[in-house]
Amino acid sequence: MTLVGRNFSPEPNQNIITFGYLGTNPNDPPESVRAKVISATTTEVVVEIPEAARSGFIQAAKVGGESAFSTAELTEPFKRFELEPDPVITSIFPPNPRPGTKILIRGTGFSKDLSEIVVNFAEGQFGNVIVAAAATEDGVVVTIPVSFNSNAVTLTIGGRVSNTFAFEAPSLSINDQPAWMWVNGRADVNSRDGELSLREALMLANGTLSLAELTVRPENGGPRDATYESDQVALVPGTAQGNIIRMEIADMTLQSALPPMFNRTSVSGGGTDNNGQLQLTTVIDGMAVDDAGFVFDGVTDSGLSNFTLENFGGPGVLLKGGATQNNISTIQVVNPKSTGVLLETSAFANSVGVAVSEGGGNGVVLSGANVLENTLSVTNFNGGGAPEVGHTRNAGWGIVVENGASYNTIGFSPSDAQWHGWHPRDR
Amino acid sequence: MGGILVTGETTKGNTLGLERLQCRPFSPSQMRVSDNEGPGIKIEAPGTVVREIEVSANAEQGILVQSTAAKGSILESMFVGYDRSTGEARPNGSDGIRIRDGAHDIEIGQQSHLSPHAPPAIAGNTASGIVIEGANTRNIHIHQAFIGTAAAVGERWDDRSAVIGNGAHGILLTGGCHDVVINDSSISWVQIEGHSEGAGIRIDGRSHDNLIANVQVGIWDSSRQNKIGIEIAELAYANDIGIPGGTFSRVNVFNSREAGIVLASGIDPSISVPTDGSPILPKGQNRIRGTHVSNCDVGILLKSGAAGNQVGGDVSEGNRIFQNRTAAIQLDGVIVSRPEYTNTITGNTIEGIQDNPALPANPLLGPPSNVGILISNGATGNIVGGTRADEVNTFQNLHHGIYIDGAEKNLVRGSRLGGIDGEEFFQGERFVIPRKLTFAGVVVRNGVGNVVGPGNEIFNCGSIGTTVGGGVVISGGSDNVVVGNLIGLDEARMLRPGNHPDGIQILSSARNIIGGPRSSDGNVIIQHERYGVSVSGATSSANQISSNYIGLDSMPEPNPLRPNLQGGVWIGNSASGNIVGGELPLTVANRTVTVPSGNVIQYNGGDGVCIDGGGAVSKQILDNEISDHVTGLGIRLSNGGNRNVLPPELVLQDGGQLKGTTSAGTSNGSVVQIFSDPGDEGRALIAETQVVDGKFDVPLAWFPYAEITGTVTHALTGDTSPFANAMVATSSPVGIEVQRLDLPVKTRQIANSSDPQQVLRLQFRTGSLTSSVRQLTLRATGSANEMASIEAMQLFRDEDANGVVTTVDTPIGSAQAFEQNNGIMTFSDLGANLQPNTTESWIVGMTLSSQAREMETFEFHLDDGASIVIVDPLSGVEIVERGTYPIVSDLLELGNEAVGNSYSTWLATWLSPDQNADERFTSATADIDGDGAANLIEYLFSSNPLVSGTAHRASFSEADDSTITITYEGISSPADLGVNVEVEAADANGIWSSASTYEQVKAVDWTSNADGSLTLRVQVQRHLANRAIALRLRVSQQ
Repeated sequence: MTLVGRNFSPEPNQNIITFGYLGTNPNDPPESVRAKVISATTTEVVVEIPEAARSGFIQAAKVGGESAFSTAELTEPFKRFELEPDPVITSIFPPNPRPGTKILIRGTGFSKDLSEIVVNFAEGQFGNVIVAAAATEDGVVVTIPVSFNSNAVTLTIGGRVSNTFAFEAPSLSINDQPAWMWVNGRADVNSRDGELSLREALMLANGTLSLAELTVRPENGGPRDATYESDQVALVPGTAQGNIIRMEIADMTLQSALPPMFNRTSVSGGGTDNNGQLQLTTVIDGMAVDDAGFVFDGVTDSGLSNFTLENFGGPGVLLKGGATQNNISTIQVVNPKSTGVLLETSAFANSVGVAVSEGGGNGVVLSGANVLENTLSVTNFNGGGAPEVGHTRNAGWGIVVENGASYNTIGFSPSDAQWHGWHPRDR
Repeated sequence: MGGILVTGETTKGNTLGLERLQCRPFSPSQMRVSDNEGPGIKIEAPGTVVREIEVSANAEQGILVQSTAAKGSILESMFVGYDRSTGEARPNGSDGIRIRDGAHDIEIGQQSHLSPHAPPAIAGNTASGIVIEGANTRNIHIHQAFIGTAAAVGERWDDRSAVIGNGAHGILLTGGCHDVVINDSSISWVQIEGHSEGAGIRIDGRSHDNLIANVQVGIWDSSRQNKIGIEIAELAYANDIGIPGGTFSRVNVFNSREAGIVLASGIDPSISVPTDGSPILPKGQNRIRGTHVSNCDVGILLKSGAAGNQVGGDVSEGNRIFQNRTAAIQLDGVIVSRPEYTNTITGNTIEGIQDNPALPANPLLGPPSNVGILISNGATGNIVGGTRADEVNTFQNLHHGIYIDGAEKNLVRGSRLGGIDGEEFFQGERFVIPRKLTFAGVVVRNGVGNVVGPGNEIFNCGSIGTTVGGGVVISGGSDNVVVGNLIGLDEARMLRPGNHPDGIQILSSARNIIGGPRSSDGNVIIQHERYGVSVSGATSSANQISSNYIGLDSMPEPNPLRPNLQGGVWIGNSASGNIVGGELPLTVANRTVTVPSGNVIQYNGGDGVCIDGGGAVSKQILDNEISDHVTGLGIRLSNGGNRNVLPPELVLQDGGQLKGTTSAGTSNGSVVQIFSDPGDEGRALIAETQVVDGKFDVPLAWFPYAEITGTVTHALTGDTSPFANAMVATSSPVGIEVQRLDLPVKTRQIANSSDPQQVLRLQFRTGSLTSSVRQLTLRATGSANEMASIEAMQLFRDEDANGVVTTVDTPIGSAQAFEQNNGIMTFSDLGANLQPNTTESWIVGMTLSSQAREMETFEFHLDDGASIVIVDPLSGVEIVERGTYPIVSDLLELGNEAVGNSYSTWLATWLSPDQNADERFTSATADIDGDGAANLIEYLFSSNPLVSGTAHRASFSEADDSTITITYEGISSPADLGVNVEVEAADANGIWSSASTYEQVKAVDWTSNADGSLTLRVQVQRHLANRAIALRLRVSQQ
């Protein structure tokens, strides 16, 4: 530490620099400890802060001072020493993250200077040293190493070491392939009509409908060339690594709210129309639905892409309940009655690429204290121009970030407009 | 509703646009926030980042950052107000960016020129580009950014062609915001241009402590003009424009249509003026330093209300202001009603238009152009220039250096006006090539009460062969003063060209004073193409030319003789009632005396003084030293000037009595001045008398030169004659001259000590006779109590010629009790002989009784020649004496300390009341005369703070044992000073540092002197013989 003042001796050991500590009782004499002076000029001394130094006053004096010489003196603000408190980790979010995913470390005594921060996924200072991605005085965002082999994290902020915070990080068991489902039924039904509907596919994915129930010849003999609805399914949902639902149709109308999304399930639209022409999106009309379109409630690693969601009573897409690392892209939400897309209640590290227009409220809302580290990509589907917020004729704001939603990125990333499936995002 | 809303104190760290290091600059696919009914982006949350977003065509602001919650936000890269893909304007309906209501700690722009992101551009918005507003809105840093410039896709940041100014200002700091920094600290900068109806940057509404540096306001392309470059108005205060000396810290202001920088801030009308005269700190205190301002109509414009601001500083802080059309700096209607309201303008380099266009046919008609500093529209009380050598403003390549136009009571000083084509000199960071001023160094047109000087160097101004122009031109108006300048030369006394045609011209202007009562007030006016001073025009009356050196440098080295080629002083064209020499009132220590104030007019080509033309009458030419005009006359009356009054006829008598006659019609009371001269002029005034009945009769005390001449000045008309025909001084002078030696008169504190206190120091200069001072009578003034306090008085010969009574001085006669006979003190029967042809000084001493009380005051007068009786000791015949009566002592004030004094009393002794109310004169660290001795040092040595070099310097000696003795003499020991001695060593670079372990103080010895002063001797033992050491006194107020 360099201290500035005047009348120091240029001989380092001629200067007496003490770091004092004022006790809680003002009548007690101050305690002080002398610092080693490394170098000195008449106006500056460089000292080594004593290990025993506490917050308090710094005092300077000079050995052998004669009456003809002035006393060494410190100038403001070097007369006082404030010991910075050690950082303390109080929690992480999500509480049980997987290796390779982002987490938010919360606590006190942090720094927003990234260069000061070292994250160690181990007990103590030595372990996997990771550079933080973002930081404030009370939060640090970092990606857990894929080769994570510990159950603890420690922060070092400017040389000050935090407590070690322990947590559970379940490892992922991975099968070879996902279960594919090709939705070829326009009707929003769960009946044995020989065509697999979106509703049936989602029920298969979330386990409320078994594959065996679909392996029944249609009552009317089946449409066209399909024999069983189960023919539209490859592998058995629930036993595979995940589910991929691919819409083969260009448009449909919902009769009621869709089943909720399930973990590691990706749904993509963009089928063919009645003339067999490929479409960019599948249009789902939610006129009869008072609730949200696709709901990601506590769902992780799922995806949604290439849909136009029209006329829903609730948000076209809703992420909540700790929905984590879902990838939503190339979604148009048209004429929602209120908010077009809503991320709330601990939605974390999701990637959302949407365009919302003609809504009755705000376009996209990120709201809530644990809505963190999401990436919102604003998409333009009108001929490749710049993605826009505006021109969308929403009644409220285009995008709202509120109520503690933090560390989110609202912008444009071309890669987000493309199909990525449910794989961890390559960012 | 708007585009994006980020709100809530706990909503933090969100990024709008690309994440950091996602490098996709100049892509057409960046997000656009546009066509919203409200603001494009509204941020009310901490730590929000905006990067690579186009924000355009929104109904309100492009980006609105508000509330105290909005802290720590970074607006790094965005394109606000135009179409990023085409570069065409898509204005937001209000400001591009507005930050308000306590938002703080915000960064705008690229923080590094190596950033992968495009720097922000804010252009084409309906109102201002960036607005920062509100008393709690603070700590905002604007880095590399382009304001008013749009960049289409594919253009590099430094290759922007589309200029779309914002509708109002580029950047507006208002409503009391503070600690805003507009400064890119890298090789990039903040560029602001194209605000044709507003300012590039405007600071108003009491906004303060903001910093602008490394900013380019306007560029060389005049099509990208701002109306005003930077404007500080409405009580904005303590803002800094430019950081002097830094590599990437300069503010360039180019091509503003009206003014580069406008200062209109300072006076707070809401503060009532105290009736007790106590100072009001102005709200100005804005500093403009190290900037380059060019190609504007006016470079830096100070407008009405500007107060307490600083333009420049020392030469390292000065601005370079060049190529501006009307003026580099203009004080337009700035009225300084209190000393503290003064704006300081020092250390600037001021250059005119590159190819200095031709002068108009009459440069004194119509609005002036290509002016260095223009003081106009009733501007009053301003001070331009400083007192120190490193504060000098330099002027070159202009029509006029300083032009005071219809303004009053302004002071211009410490300026270097002129220059020589092609000659370089180093100033600040660079070499400059000075070139001449084509009309005049200083013009005062229709001005009243302005003061030019002291300390201006004015040379090479005006054009060869013209009849109007030169160093200083006063045209119309009245009561201006030109004092203490070097006109026709510079401080270094280099061989500079003079001015053309004249040094000083007074054209149809009245009651101006060229010079002043003291010799230090005079101007040196030499080597001009025509006259040193010319006065012309029927309304040129009652001007007085006094105490100047005309044709001769006041310094003997290196080239004292540099004549004005056609004459020293020329008065003609019906100018009347003007005075050359004469007397002027001098106020010292609140007392006013009238002192003779003649000029030294010597060695000119042509005549010393010429009164030309029948209408040029009523001129007094008195008290001057006029001589050595080889090709002309000392005084010439031509074409009926001064009514062609004839000179007196002189007859010298044995014993030094001079008699003479005057021409018919010379009225009684007309003044005859007698001169001694090597030729036929008047180099030394030796006597003065009055005409009685056409005759005069005067004893001559001494005459140093071989010839005697004289003039007569008629009592009724004031006309002065030419010099009389010279006559050889065939006999030796026999008289004696008496004068006071310790001038100027001042208030001085004395002590009630048993030692005699110095009252007066007289000098006697004898002629060829041994003289004996027989009687000396002083008249004391004061109350009865004060008279009763005077115990005794005594005369001393000042043997050691040090001006104070010491033990070596010889008493003359014995001490005489002071008899309170109406305050008359007569030293009689002195019998003190003075040797012939010598100079001797006497000191009148006074001892006070122990009953004398503090603050009693005493003053003594030697009223006239009758007060002193000097005789030939052999014959007893009284010897004629000559003196300038009355001779008055200092006002002696009995202090309350041994050598009593106080800082405030000392200040009052030397400073005028106005100066005493001005902290720049009174502060302990002020160095008024610029001699390196601050006020406290001058006070310690009781020296004159107004005269350079009067502070005492130490003497040094070194003994064989390497002991150095440093001696300071003449120290006063006022109770309100503390003096410590420190030994410090200086290294090879002159850097001081304490060396306590090496050099030792062996002894510190204070001794008292008879005059009450102290001598300090410090002995220091050297550590090494070749080690440089230095000693200095530390003086502090207690």
